[in-house]
Amino acid sequence: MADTKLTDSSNDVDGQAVVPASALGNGNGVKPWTAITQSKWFGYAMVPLVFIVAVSIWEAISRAGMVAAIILPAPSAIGKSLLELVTAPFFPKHVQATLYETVVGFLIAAVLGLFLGSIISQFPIMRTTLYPYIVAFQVLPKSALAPLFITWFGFGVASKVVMSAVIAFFVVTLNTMVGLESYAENEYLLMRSLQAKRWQIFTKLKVPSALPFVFAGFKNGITLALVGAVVGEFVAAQAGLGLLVEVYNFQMKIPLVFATIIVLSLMGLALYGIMELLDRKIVFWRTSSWEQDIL
Amino acid sequence: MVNNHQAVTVRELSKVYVGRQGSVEALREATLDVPSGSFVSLVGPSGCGKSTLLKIIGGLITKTAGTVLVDGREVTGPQSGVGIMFQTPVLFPWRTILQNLLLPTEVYGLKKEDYVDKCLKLLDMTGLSQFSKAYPRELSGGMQQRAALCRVLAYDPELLLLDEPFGALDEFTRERMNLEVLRMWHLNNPAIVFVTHNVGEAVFLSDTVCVMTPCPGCVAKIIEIDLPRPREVTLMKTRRYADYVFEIREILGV
Ligand SMILES: Nc1ncnc2c1ncn2[C@@H]1O[C@H](COP(=O)(O)OP(=O)(O)O)[C@@H](O)[C@H]1O
Ligand SMILES: [Mg+2]
Repeated sequence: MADTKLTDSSNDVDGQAVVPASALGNGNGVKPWTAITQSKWFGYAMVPLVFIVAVSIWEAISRAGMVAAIILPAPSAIGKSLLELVTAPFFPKHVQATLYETVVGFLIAAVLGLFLGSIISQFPIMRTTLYPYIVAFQVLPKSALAPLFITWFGFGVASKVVMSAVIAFFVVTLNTMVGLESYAENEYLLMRSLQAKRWQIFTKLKVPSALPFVFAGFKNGITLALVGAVVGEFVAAQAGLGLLVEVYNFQMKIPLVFATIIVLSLMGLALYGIMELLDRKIVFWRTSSWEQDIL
Repeated sequence: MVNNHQAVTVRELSKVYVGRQGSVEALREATLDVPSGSFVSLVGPSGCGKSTLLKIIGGLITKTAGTVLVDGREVTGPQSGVGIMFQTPVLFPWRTILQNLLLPTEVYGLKKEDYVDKCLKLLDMTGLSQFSKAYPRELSGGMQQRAALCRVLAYDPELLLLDEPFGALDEFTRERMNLEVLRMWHLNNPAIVFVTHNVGEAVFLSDTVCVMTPCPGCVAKIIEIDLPRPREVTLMKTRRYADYVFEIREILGV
């Protein structure tokens, strides 16, 4: 069998892949300070540092009485309100409402977006007939529809789910469309040369090629879904963090308004983080392995 | 009328691309024969219609006029028994090397298990055995192209269409890959249409060199290469080899 070996990998001229990355430098001529500032851990350490500095300045300004507390409360006051808010017995109910509206709204947007994006990109007739309507709908400021949705779907969660889905579906649709057309010509020709059927080209080439785009759409969509839920709650709601913002603002409890906003952004961050995690897990091939070796 | 021994018959084939900026004539009445089991190269400068000719033979794009027969049958679309390889490896980044090699089994509806051993053996023969579970990005360009070669060879094509398969590789790697193609060709003896813009490579590999010029897209001359086989690298030092290269360069005006 050995004589049928056509190449000997031990003297592989094009074997760049076997050169250990560590042999490519890392050190020589790089100043220690540069090494520190460019390290990942330095970046992580900077995050709380920036926070502490910014908050301290803010606190100093508030204590010096430069801005009225009713306009911009001190971070310490907001901190106290935050604690008060998250320990309040009614708090879980409101978090749950907003979270539910956002997640369900997003899921509807995702399914709708994937479906519309797919049929628009795969059937020219659908593109011609549907796409103009979708764009026309997208340029409409959808917050203007919120009162209407309340009228149609009531004061409960349903109207916010609809609002959230309506705001988020376009970005998923668009990214799905673009993603499904992002394959290279030769990849398509290879599939054609194998006499692949249309659905085989779709599932084996177009869908995987689309995934990085789809997840970009999801990440964008989940944050927009939260916007939709809050906007819906502003108009009229029985529960939700948007409702709390509205009520506290009306009662002039500004520190609590800030506290609620903090909770909302943490919620957005968590949802985005889940998407990011899914993205990295599912679209594993996108993370460029060469990046880690770049000096 | 139809010669059974021809893997490919091309008669007065013309192709005009109609695009937004008007039409481009890519092929004008090209005529060519590829006997079964023979190695034919298409050589010519960039833009003279080599890829167009290859894609029409492969049934991937439409022709404007003329006749193209593969295995005696009119080409109406992609055909079975025809393998195509491009300048880029076209390995899907979400599949391991072995999964990429097995992609055709999924499309053809074949049993994967029947081909795993064969694919692994081919990877072994091309020095890639330890990369079967690696993803394409972990391989160098030359290794990726070798994997692509394995993918096309695993399904025993009777006709291999290679469009500048090693054109993106450095000279050393390309030379070695060419030798691999020759070895593989001797094993299974498919007909090969090999596109290149390297005259020396065309002479070294082929039974027949089809010289194309941008007139546009004409077959200027078909030259039989009467050199002994199997071909060794030392052949390139011989007078006869040099004469062929010179003759073709004259036609191309380089
Ligand atoms: N899809 C296309 N649409 C329009 N013109 C094209 C297309 N593909 C190739 N051409 C033109 O046809 C000519 C021949 O191209 P090609 O067959 O790719 O040449 P080669 O492979 O010899 O470099 C060129 O002038 C090129 O610009
Ligand atoms: Mg070409």
